[in-house]
Amino acid sequence: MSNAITIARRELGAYFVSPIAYVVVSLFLLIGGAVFYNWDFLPAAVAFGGAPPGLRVVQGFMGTLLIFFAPFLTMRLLSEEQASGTIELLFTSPVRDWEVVLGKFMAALGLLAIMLVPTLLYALILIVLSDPGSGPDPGPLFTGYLGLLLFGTAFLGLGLFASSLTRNQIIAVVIAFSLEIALLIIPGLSRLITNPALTKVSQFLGEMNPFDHLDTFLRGAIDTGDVVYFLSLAVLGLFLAARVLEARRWS
Amino acid sequence: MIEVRGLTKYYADYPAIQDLNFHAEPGEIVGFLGPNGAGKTTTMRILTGYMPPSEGTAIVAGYDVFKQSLEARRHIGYMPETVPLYNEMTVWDYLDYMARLRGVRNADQREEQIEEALELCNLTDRADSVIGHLSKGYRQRVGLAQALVHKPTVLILDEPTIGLDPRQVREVRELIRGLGRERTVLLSTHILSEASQVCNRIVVINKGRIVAEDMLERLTATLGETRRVLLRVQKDSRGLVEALQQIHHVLAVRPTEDGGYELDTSRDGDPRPAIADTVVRGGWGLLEMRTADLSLEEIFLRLTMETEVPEAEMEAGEESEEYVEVEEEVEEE
Repeated sequence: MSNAITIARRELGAYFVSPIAYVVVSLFLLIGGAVFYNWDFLPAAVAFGGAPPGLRVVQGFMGTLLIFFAPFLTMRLLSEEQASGTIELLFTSPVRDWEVVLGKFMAALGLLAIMLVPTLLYALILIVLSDPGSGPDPGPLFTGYLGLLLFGTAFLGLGLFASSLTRNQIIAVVIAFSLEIALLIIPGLSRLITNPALTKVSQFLGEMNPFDHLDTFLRGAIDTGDVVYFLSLAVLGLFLAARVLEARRWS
Repeated sequence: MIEVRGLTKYYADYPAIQDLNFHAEPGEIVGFLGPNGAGKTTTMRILTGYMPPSEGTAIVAGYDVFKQSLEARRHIGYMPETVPLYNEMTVWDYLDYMARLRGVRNADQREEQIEEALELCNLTDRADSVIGHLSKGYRQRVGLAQALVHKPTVLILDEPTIGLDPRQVREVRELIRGLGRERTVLLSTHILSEASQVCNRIVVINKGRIVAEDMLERLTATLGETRRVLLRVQKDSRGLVEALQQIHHVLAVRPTEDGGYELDTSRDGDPRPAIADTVVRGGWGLLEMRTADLSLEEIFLRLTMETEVPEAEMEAGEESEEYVEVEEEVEEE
């Protein structure tokens, strides 16, 4: 485990050497800020003459942004090591393959946290601007952020898997997007399954849309099923990435 | 300590190495000599736990590299052929990272070991340089420092002097000789003179098989009775070949491509004074005369012919290119 932390620390540092982290974080905050102001803050302020009741719009929109940005956060993680040959150092150091994968994942998660923390400012603005006793309900604010974190966790896991497959970072991004798009369109396609023997399969695939699961959190509820959904996607991604690395040794 | 028994590795159906057996003791520098594609890197990657063998076992520092891979890796310092560096890191941060990964947990101890590795590799003044900005020679030394930083008992170095200028080559060879006094060092090279200068013992590998294993002197001694003399004269050399062939102990004379002559001489006696005499008296103008090592190519040809492995002859193409490089290297020395 301490090996994973060592790897995560180096990796997090490496993020801020390349422009990718700066570009992604600033775009995320810029777009997030604009959405918050125009669709959460302003309409509510005009309608009620006070602070809006929550961050529903901007939190949902941040989910959409994460779909776009997560692949850029993970593309480097394993591709670059394979392209530059530094993976040979990790493979010949007394470190297990899953520790490598976990370390990389933790670094990506750290960057996700760094992206989300400044947006807590939106919540702070609401609390400061609202009249005493009529502030925003802290429940949905909190569960919204929890949901976003889990939502991002799932896509970072899948992105890490994509990065393990290739030495080319652009291909890693393309694979990660393909996996995300698959998750988004499978529920729609599942309705085409009309064979009654396959109703269970169709129902299962119909549950695959990540935004449906994020929505529960945005409404202020925590459903174990949603938590399990996001975490299993992440674990699946990490597991597959570790297996791909292992397979590289045997080839 | 390295102990290799029956090591075999297949890439799909192609055998990269077959039934390798050798060992290396502490305080010994073993040279792994062979042309590119002979299986040197494959063997080293197995020894360092990078990839598992198809058959056979390898024990490094008392641990089976496959079954007790993590323990074995803790005791190995490995410098791959293309030195893998994180270009965005400073030399110090990089060594700190590698030391942590190799289990040097104590911060003071780690600092001490990093300083020691920097000093050994002559890098102390570059500790805060960003690796991406370093020259090839420095990068190579950082690669070596990385292999030393956790004080491993076994060092595995894959072509450690490749791409360095002659002065750096000498430095690195000296460093390795020093390191080999208390550690076990396995060093691969395709340069014969490097193996002869640095190593106590040489394992010659070709096409995935060990073709010879011995002290270098005994190896060259068993390679036949002839010694080679290279000769260069100034004037038009009409009649020279005939005159040289008359000399006792000269077995054969061949013109070389660059205008010199190559003489095979018997080891029973030294015909060099007679050769010089002949050239001077004939008025050909002696420019240069020296003995030359057998090239790696010839050693392989002889070794493989002796062991009568089929298809022993070298293939043309990329391998022959290597030999040109080898011969140049020999001439440099």
